[in-house]
Amino acid sequence: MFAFLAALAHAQIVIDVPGRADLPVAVPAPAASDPAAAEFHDAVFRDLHMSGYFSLIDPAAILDPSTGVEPGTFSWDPYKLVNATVLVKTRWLPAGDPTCDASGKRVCADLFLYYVVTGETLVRERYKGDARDPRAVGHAVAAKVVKAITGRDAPFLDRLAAVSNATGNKEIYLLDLDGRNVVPVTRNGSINLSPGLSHDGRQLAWTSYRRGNADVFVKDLSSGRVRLVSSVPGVNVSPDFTRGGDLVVARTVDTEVDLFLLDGRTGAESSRLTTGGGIDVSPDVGPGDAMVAFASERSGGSQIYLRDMRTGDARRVSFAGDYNSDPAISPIGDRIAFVTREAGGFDIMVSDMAGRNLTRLTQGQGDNEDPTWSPDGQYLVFSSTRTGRSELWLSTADGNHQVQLTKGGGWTQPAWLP
Amino acid sequence: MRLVLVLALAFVVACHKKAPEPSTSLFDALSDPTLSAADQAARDAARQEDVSRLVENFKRVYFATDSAILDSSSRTALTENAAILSKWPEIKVEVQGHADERGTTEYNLALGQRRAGAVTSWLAGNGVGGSRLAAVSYGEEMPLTPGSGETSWSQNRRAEFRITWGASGTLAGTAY
Repeated sequence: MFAFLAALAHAQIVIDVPGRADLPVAVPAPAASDPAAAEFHDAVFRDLHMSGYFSLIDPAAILDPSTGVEPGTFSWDPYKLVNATVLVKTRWLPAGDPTCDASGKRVCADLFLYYVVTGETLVRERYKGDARDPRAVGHAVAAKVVKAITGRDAPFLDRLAAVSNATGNKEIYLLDLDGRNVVPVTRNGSINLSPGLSHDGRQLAWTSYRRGNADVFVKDLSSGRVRLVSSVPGVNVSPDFTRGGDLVVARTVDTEVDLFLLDGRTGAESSRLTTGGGIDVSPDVGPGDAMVAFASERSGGSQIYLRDMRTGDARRVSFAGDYNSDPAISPIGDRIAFVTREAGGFDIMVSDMAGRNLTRLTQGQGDNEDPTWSPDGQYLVFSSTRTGRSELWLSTADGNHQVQLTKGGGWTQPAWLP
Repeated sequence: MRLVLVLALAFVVACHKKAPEPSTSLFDALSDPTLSAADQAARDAARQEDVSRLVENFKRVYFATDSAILDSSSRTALTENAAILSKWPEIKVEVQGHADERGTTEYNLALGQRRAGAVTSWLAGNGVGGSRLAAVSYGEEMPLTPGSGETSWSQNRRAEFRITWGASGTLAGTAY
């Protein structure tokens, strides 16, 4: 359960799961002052804050007159003064630097990671990246810092799919975890909802009204080709890919909405997963395609159910409150995140697979909806209206540490790319 | 909207060449070859107004939270809407089901469909041919009244009527 860093273990530093955000770290800006260097440093700083392991020391409080980054070229005193335990020093080599890439297409950053208490050098490493995306170099550096200190991989280079109404219409976009590099997936001027990624990350399924009805489409993200996979009269909504590349969708049958398993390529119906009980919607297929969580009103209000894909049996796993929906099974299948409706709005909860051991991630902070897990199960991203506008937020799985990812409003329905 | 309406009228023109409507039709003689282009444009504009007025005559239907049950005032409104549909037999309608924001996006899509379906079922059971009716859900995507609170929510839990005709389902106007 605990991850020790060998170099730090003797100093009695123990890093648990992310969320405590209590390890004091100093991240002074690199000496280079061009805009790319500033973007790089901003990415490192924000990522380390986002991670939930560190307490970031205000760079303005660090009074280091030296620009040295290598061991012995600067004094520890300015860092001891602000109680830094860990020091992240970086050297930025801008486009055209001959020691990095004289062609100007690539940029480099040197990372020197220090344990201030003993003066040990924990990491010294060079990172190289595309000159057009200095933040990506920052994400790689920050991920290395997290790995060195905690032994865990960090998701800073991951991407999300999400819905934004920035154009006045709801369209699907891909974006970096830090809210940057926003790229449109749809641009049809209609209503586009509920993006879901295939587990190889190559296909995006979603609901669109581009044909005048709520239909499910799949876009091949590399070729750009779009195919219609579910278009019965009525609703075709909430697509979710199985590990095997097929799709579970909720769609109208007679007077209700039930779950169907469709061939991911052709949309042909493989089987009907639920029958009766009114609305069954928002399926989320668990690891190994062994089970599917979904919201159903078969017992009255909307509640979360788990269907065993082998036996077909479904059991209820949410018990508190009269409206629970939008389940998301953790990547290793040990927890379910879901949305619960309360007097003040919607909140994110996490339970075990039996619906017990509830953890509340949000309370009294507007509407919080559509949780999606990081592939390592350490974090969740969801939409929240706590600033007055709907933005994407990241939370550690324990809910203790939450950061805003997007700015500009209108962001909903995030899906974490595998 | 104007362009769409012109296209819709053009579609009707094409239809009329094959199967002329009865003389009482709202869209009677749209392809009259004796009219000049300007007269035809003026006549089309008048037809457009007729459609707009007709659309306004359809009543909205409202629902209780999480419910698709038609109460007595809903049935009264639908009785009036059925009378319009019986008066204009060439009109087809799309019934749009809507939800307030107090559900998830995906649940509300299903709930809106249930509401639209409740309305089309009632109309079909009260003399409106099923082929003239389509049910489409917009979930919480098209609120009538923005903002939170029961005043807004009660306005947004609704079904609306949109006039369409032909297989193309061309938009002619939405009831407000």
